[in-house]
Amino acid sequence: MISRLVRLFLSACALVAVFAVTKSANAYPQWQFTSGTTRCNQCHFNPAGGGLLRGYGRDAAGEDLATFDGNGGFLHGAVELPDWLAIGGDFRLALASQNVGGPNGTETALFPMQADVYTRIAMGESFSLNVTGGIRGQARVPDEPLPAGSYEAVNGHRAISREHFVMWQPAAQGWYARAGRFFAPFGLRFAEHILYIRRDLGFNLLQETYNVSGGYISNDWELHITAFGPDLVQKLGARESGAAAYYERRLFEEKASVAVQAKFSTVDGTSRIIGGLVARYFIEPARLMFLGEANIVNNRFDGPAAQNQLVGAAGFTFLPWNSLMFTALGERLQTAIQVKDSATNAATGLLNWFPYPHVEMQLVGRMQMPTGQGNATTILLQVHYYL
Amino acid sequence: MRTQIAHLLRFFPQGLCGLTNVNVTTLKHLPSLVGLGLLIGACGSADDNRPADWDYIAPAIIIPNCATSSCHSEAAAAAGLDMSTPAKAYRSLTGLNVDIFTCDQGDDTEDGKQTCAPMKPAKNPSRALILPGNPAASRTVSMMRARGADRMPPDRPLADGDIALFEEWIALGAKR
Repeated sequence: MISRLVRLFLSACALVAVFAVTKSANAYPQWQFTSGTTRCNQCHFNPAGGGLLRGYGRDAAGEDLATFDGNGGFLHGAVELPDWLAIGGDFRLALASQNVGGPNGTETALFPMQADVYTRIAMGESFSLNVTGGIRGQARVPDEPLPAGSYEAVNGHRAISREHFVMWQPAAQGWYARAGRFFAPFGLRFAEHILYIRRDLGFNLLQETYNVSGGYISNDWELHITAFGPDLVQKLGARESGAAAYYERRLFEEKASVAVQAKFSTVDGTSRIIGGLVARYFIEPARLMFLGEANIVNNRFDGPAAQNQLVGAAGFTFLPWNSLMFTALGERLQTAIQVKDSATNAATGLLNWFPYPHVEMQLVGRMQMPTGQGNATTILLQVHYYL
Repeated sequence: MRTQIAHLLRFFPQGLCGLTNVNVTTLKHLPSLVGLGLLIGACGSADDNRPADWDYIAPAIIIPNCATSSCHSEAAAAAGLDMSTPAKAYRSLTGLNVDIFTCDQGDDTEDGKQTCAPMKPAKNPSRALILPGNPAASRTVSMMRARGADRMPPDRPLADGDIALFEEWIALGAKR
């Protein structure tokens, strides 16, 4: 009986580790074009979106992106911060239920999913210091009996800083540069790290790299180029070094975009080259956005011949109102393109509702269908409050 | 629409498997290509010609699926296992004597899944997670297949082709 309880506890830990601190950036790519915005950095300080909101984003959150009007400002407008200081935060509580075909059947856990605080300090007109601090989840169980000679965690801290960077950005449109820890702009940039286009392309939970990055942002197009290296400070992130580039062009009177992207990385005698396409198209009368991303990954190994991998997602988002969106995605991960049995498909549904400024409810349903194995189902309900 | 698809197929006769024919004209059709490419991406053959070498298996299958930040990364090393590099992953799987528990192999249910009674020590409880030459008795394989053991990775089953390749590597002696 005790071993059964221990086992259930370990299973719950694994579930929490998979989903805890799920949102690395609160990006909603579905709102680009659909909410009257063209660029991600109209609402966010971050050039590629996600994270701390600008005044415009807070106003939009208060007036246009919630079912019931309110004040989207810091602490609901109760405190007026000086111009040089911006503070925000994300707090999420989740109830997840998952069945991966294991002997335990369906496992359920209620857990805090995110606790992050963002700070941006402006230094003059062009420079800023941006720091995110928070708590991470982990699967390692304290005082768990381990075999002799086993590996110790090199970072036992649960307090982390996922992003910290210095940025030069004289204007919202134009050239910018930044250096520090963050994700290189790449792909559709959904917040859900469990999607293959994030998990399997180097953008999984806590895998932020240290970068020197720059680019150009305008209403018509944007370009981001990033050189990155491993996280040698907290040793949480990816161990790869390399470079990434993302170029996006807006079309059809800013109702659509197409992007090309590439990434080269190397670690431990292996390297990979990713080439991908990203597209979005908003059909305004139907309040429907089609979006997709497809990547070919050329993996090169120390010895064996190179292998091509496929990682992609495509689907649509229906937004009857700006405060309610339903997204359906089909995903495909194929470890080796020439081998059919190495493929996993997934169907993912996301229902996001923003009833009041600072509050979001999300329901996620997902079924993963690996070739030759049983399906895995996940249902996740979360409540999100942002400061 | 049909004409458009036919036009696109001229550039991608083999779907994304034949991704060698991209030219400037193709770029006009990027939005359609993304969706179409994913659909046609369901290509490949039933034969697996990949090498059953650790030099391939570690970076292509083990590290991306196991060395996630909160689990068997260098930072977390859950259960004392670090799979962040091919060398550490190899030692974690073959060089550590892990206490292994198993559950009674209950009757298979109609859908082929096994029921699991309370866990108890395995017959040979302290051993490596892989037994070279014997994939069926290797704990890691049991976990990948959720066969009398908790599923690993805990968030998604691996595709059968990837597990089969891992089993083949073990059957060949699990060498580096």
